[in-house]
Parts: sequence; C-alpha cells; structure tokens
Amino acid sequence: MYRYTVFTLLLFISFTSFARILWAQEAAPVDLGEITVMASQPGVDISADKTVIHMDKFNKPGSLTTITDVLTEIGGVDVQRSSSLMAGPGDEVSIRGLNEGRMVIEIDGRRINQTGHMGRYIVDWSTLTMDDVEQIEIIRGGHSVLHPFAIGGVINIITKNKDAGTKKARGHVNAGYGRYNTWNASAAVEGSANDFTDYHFSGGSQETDGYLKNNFQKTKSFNSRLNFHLPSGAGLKLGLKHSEVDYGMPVVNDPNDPNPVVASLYDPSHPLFRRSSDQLRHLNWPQLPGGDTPKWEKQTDYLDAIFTLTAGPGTLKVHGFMTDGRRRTSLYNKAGSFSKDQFTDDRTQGIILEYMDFAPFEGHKFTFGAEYQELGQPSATQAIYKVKSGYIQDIIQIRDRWTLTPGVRYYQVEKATYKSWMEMGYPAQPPGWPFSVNNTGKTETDSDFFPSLKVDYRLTRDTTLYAAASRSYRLPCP
Amino acid sequence: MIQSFDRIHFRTAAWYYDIKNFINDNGITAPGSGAGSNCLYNIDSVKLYGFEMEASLQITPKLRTTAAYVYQEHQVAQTGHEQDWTYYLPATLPKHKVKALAGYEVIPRGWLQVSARYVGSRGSQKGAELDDYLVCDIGFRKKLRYQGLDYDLNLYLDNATGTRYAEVSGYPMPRYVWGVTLGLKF
Repeated sequence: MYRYTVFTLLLFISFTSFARILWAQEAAPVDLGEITVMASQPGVDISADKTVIHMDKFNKPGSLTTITDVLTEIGGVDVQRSSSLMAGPGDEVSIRGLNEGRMVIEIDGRRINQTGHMGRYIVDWSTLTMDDVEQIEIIRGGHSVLHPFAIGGVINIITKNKDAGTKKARGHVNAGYGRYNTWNASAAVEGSANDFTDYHFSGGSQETDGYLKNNFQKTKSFNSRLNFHLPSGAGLKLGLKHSEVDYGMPVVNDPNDPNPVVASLYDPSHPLFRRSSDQLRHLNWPQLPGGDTPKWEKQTDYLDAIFTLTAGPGTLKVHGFMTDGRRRTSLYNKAGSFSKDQFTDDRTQGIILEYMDFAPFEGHKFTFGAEYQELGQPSATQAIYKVKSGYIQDIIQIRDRWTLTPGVRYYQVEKATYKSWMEMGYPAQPPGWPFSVNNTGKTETDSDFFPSLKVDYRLTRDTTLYAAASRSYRLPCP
Repeated sequence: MIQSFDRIHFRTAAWYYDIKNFINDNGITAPGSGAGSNCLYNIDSVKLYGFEMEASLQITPKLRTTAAYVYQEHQVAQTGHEQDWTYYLPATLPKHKVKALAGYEVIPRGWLQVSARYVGSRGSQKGAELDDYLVCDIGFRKKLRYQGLDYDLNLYLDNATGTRYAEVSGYPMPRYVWGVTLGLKF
C-alpha cells in the first residue's frame, strides 16, 4: 500500500521590494549582488527564497508564546486550531494545501517531524515555545534538496545565537494574564562566559482553563544553548529544548446528547460541544464528561549538537540530533470505558554531515551532504523508519540576471511494516485484527533519486521571477 | 502583473502540484478499532493549485499595512475506497483567505495594531461545510525606558468583533479575549 510520493511543482513568483541586502541563513549562498526583499511588516522579510521572521522585531496584537501564534499572521500559511488560547497538540499548519505531514518542520535546520504513528500527530505545536527562538524561516514549496521530505514547504526554527561575544549578561522577564484564567511567565538570560563560550538559558510557563469544557492546558518549558568557539574557526553548539505539556481533552457538553448520562452533565457555563465535532489527530473518538479527566501529560526533548569547521574552500557541518517524546494518556475508548496513564513514546534521531559553500569554479557554489535518520518508538519498534540519504546542490550564477539551482537527493528508506492477514494465510480477517495476531516482522525498502531545479531571473532591480520543478518523497505515514 | 510603486510592494506566486500515491488518512474518524492501518489508502493523483499575493503599503511614516490573499484548489482522483466519512485534508482548508495587519504609531514608541483574517467557507472531516468568517484582533503596545530598564507593555483584545467561528468543525472559538503582558529587559 505504501508507495513513494512524487510531485511536480511549477512556480512563478514576482517580487518587488525595498532595496535591501539579504541572504539569510540558508546554506550555499552565491553573491547575487542586490537581492530584493520585501519588508512587509516589522520583523518580516520576504525574498524570492523564503520568508524570515525576526522575533526581536516582530509585532502583532495578542500574546506570542508558541510558534503558531506567529504563523497565524503570515500570508500563505494556514493555521487550524481547536483553541485560540494556547497551541494544542491537535493544531495543524498548512502551506499550499499541505499540512505538516507533507512539510518539514526543523529546528536549526534539522527535521523534527515524528512518524505520525501512535497518536498520529507529526509535529506537536504545543511543545514549540518561543522562549529561545531568534527567527523563523518559511520556505514555500519543495524545491530545496537541502531539506528532506519537503513538499509543501519548510518551517525552520532558528534558536538564539545572536549574542556571541556579549560578555555582559542580559536577559528579560515577561508575564501576562488574560481571559479564561490564561497566564504566562518567562525569563531568559544570555551572554558570554568567556571568549570561548556563549550561553542562553530560558524557561517559561503557560496555563489556561480553556474555553471548552475540560480543555485546560499547562505548559512548562526550559531551553539551554551553549556555543563554544574552538580553535581554527571551529564551533560547537549544544542545544536542549524541553517542554512539559499537561493537556485536557475537550469533553462532550451537550444537553441533547444521545447518552442521557452525558446529557445530564451539560454545563451551561461552557460552550456547546457535540460528539459529532471533527476529531483531532490525537483523539480517535469523543471524550466524555464525568468523574474521570481525559488528558495527556507529555514531555518532549529536542537535543542538538552542531559542529562546524572551515575546511579548505568550504565549511563542514556535522549535526547530531534527537527528538524524544514521552506521554501518558488517560481517555475514554470507543466503548466508553476509561483507561489511565497509557504510556507511549516516540523518538527521532540522526546525524547530518554537510559540506557547504564549496566553490571550485567561478559562478558555482556546491553543497554536498549525507544524512541518516531513525524514527520509531523506544518502547516498541525502535526504528519504524531508517532513512539514508545523500544530496548535492549547485547554485550557478549566469551573468547578472540568471541563477540556476539544480539539485538531487537520493533516498533509501527501510520501513518496518506488518503482514496482511492474506499473506499470513488466513482465509478471512481474524477477529480482533490487527491487534489479535502478531503480524510484525515485515520490512520494505524504497530507494530512488529525486531531482529539483529552480531558475531565477532578475527582471529589474526590484523584481525577480522564478520557476521551480521538483520530485520529492514522503515517508508513508499518516 | 507586478509593479513597484513608491510605497506599495507586491509579491505574488502561483503553484501547481501533482502528487502521485497520495496517502489519505481516515484513521481518526475510522469505524471499528480506529486503527490507522484500516483506513489508509493511496490515491492515484491529488492535484493542488492556487496563487498567493502579499502587499505592503506604507501610507505614512507612522502607518504601515500589509495584506495577503491566498486562493487554493484541489482535485482528488476517486479510488473506490471512499465512504461517507472520507475526507481530504486540503478540503478542510479555505479556497479564499485574506489576512491584513496594520500598525500606527499613535504616541512615541506606542503602536496601535489591528489584525484581521477572513477565512472562506471550507469542508470538514464529516462533510459539513463551515461558514466563512472575519475575525479581528486589536492591540496596543508601548515601549518605555524607566530607571535604566526597558519595559514593554502590551494590551490586546482578540476577536474584538465578537465573531462566532471555528477553525476546526465543532470547536467554537472564544470571543472578546482580553489580556495584558508586561516585559522587562535588563
């Protein structure tokens, strides 16, 4: 059933701007001279490649505590939330009709998407707090081979790294309160311990009673970043982003519910919430009011170690990473019985080796890379997916106006899948399938090349046209 | 057509996707066990296309507005696996969406901000059509320096229009959500 996904994209973009210079943090820049950038609003720069949101300048009405608070304001980004008070695990973010199941969400350039199994969320937006975020990059479309599995686009969260060399420590304290007993508090301190070490520590807490019945939420977060400036221009950045989310699942609040017990528990102080409501990704069926509290308690750690070294004509980067999630879920099943503290975990880990800014010929700039990634469940199948990939991209400058960006990524994906009851020899689907029979032990492998090409033409000083076509791959998960 | 005027700046883009073997997930609304494996299937072709525009307008040095419009469409090949609970994620997104943000410096280092979103009608998991809506947030932000410290005061009223709306079918959003934040830099 699982096949690779192929897509083609044709994109035409025109672009005008204040004449400013921008080449933000994407690797492998070629000197294009003056790049057009549109400063659409304070803290938001839009170029032909990407939208960059600088959090120290970004401004909007309301609180800014999680990434989705920012994305809600950005053109071309759809955010669907079940509550506007705080980001929830069932929130979805889409670009050009494709949600995070077909986009890449990254921290410092590495993918944080989970498998989507056992809870079905790909990215839990409630865990992505803003305390340590310096800027957010949004790349629309899947034309960059530097980002694996990008079809709809890329959202790259860049953590704080700006204060290198600031020996005097500085920081901030924020606190807020709002309706529905919603409050938040955060603090951060950053600076340099000495000539070789920069640091950033931050933490925050958010809480709300919620709008829907039982839809409370408490989030705590802690972030730590250490940057070491090593000899010979080398650098090492260590990062930890930790969050704890205690999330109450909204329960049916309907005086006309077909279950008379549920109907009798209707609370008019909360809005109507029917069992026919759409289901969120982490909930398979409606949750019920009563003595038990449907909720989950989740801890997530994002760990990163990035080593960079100027080596020969280019820069070498080695990036090891892990996303580790653990949650205990208490909820009603479809039959209406309640179970407490069901444990599920997930882990994504891997390493990226990249050599960038390599310019052996005039007008060319290459990036080479290789990546290994595992996605799975430490308590069950440790590696549901093993992904090996290699990629190369060149940025070719042709005179003043034309830029070609060809690239190709090769994937080899090993998948731990399961046997169908037909291939196991059963004449009909066994009762209780798929849980009544051990159907594990089957593996599949996909491999192929996925090329892309982007062409930029600078029509005038203020206008750039580009078109891109690419073929991409997506892990076969929900 | 793109044109750069003195104080108006545009970006526009169009896109077209043809996705083969699109994995559709009905697991969250599945009958029976609800297991995703019962409810995943490949769709031969899903096509997505549309265009987006963004514009920035600086009316005066103190007044700046931005606006964005997105139109998006999708086509899904029929597979024979459809049931009455089949849904497609792109169908839950609006065909038309407009966002606007304006900021005006009413006093030195004090900005009045208005954010508005229009979201067109769209589908839901279980087939119902959600109405379009327009929601507006208002805020006031003041930065000040006092005794060597930088303060940042933010007052806001989200959904100031009192719009009854839902981004996900069945999940009503609160109205008139007020709040205040205070920041201190040292």
